[in-house]
Amino acid sequence: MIGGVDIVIPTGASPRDAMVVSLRLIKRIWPDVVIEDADSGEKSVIGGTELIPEGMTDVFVYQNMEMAKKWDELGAEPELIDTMIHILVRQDEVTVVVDDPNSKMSRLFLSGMKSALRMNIFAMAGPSQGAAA
Amino acid sequence: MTPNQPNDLEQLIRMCGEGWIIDCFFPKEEAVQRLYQTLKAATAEANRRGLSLEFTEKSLVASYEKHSAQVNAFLQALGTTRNPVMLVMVWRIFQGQKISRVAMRYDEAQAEFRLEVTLANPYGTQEETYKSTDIGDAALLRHFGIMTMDDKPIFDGFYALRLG
Repeated sequence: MIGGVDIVIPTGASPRDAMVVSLRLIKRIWPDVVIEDADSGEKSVIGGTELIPEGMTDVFVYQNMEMAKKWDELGAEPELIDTMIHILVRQDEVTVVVDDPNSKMSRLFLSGMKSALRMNIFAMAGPSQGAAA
Repeated sequence: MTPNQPNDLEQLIRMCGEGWIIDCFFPKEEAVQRLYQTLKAATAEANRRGLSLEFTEKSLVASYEKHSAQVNAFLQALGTTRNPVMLVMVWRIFQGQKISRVAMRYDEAQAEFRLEVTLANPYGTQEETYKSTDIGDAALLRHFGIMTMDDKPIFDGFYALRLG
């Protein structure tokens, strides 16, 4: 069985923005990513004409459809290491569960997450109005 | 329509807390009509590019139900630019396009400003370029997600600012 390691990343981002950040970053690494809403069990792909999903708070993210099916069939078997990430978004923090935080894929994703989730765009107040005229 | 769902563009804008887009427009009573025109121009620009995108009151209200954060960011873009090219660029980012290149040139003496944003699909195999010569569009860059991955500089995503 694969074990999971929880990495908690604080953020000023709203849960919706945090989910978008997370899914955008993982899609950079896994272009054919498949996501599964942990609450409903519904699987979907990201891309095409749909916008990046933002309403979920608990999502399993698979490398691609083939791996998603294997996870369904086999469960957390060693041959599936680093093919799925679990992301939980809460107010003020995101928890990422990975198999091995030192693997190349995990390090890349976690470095992006830690950088992206502390963006000042999520914490700062901007101008009170834009160029509306 | 649920009680928390807006019925029209103005309600959507105000529900998102972006009432300044209408209230700061001069003349204010023409604001919504001008926004409709801009959305129509954005639809035409998308179609010109072969993209099946439709920027209408109905489509924005429908998108708001599941994608309120991104619709909010789009409305801020709509309040910032009248350039349909830039609005299409923003929506394409929401659809998962990567920001692969940004080039900006400003030369006061030459009275010159140019902004060029190139997007790419997740595989990096198809690019789309969006250009502007309106310096007001530089404000859109404030919405880009700015980060690093393994020390590599990345622009990714387009987010709403928390307007005070």
